[in-house]
Amino acid sequence: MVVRRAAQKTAPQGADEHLLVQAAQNDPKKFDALYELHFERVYYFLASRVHDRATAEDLTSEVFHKALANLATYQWRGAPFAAWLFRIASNALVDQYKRASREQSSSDNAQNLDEHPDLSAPALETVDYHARLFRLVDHLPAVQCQVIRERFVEQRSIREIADRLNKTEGAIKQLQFRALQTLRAQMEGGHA
Amino acid sequence: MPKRSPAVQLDRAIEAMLIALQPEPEPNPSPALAQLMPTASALRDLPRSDFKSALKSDLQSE
Repeated sequence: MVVRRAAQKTAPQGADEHLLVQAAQNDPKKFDALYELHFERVYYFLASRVHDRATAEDLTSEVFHKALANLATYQWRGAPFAAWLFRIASNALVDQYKRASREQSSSDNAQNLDEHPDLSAPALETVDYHARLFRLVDHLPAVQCQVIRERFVEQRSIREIADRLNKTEGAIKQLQFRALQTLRAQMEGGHA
Repeated sequence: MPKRSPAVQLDRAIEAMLIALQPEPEPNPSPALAQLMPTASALRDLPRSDFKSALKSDLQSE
């Protein structure tokens, strides 16, 4: 299977991204395009640091609401739009860390939060890797996509998934295996 | 013990990963196991698709 171009979507560079930002500044309804480009990056950036799905979702929501609310004040200086989103996300993480420390000083959540998010180039490459992988999941054959989502997002057992899809457990394991082979091959830019 | 299929080996490793247990070592590990587990591990933070669409709708309504 040839890598699908849509799944390889990466942030447009320079002038193209500037145009998207300008369009959204003129018409907030066009913020959608920026959201679609950056959702997975922001989500992974946060999820990998808070280690809790509900908190990651709350913070992702906070980041995009703040970005939309402050878009008019954003000034293009040549840096990728994602850098601005990551700064908002970093601030949201620090605030979350402080809240968690105050409210649950001895909880796991407070201990697991990363107070000083890493914005180095290697860290952001890891973010891009995961964002690309997450987008590729949606381009798997429908049944493989469902197996991956049920297994990794809903954390259902193979038996539960087999019951829900009216298939054998062996068939679900094969679908999971093939899905991961496809994803790995596509991440390497090869063929599944 | 008969050798487990690569799909079964992979699922045992994923199951252990998802419940944060150290997997029992496979006696005859398939090469696919080492190749595919990094991808499986990276999927642990896969976002819910309905969260993405719900947040998008929420932002559109602002």
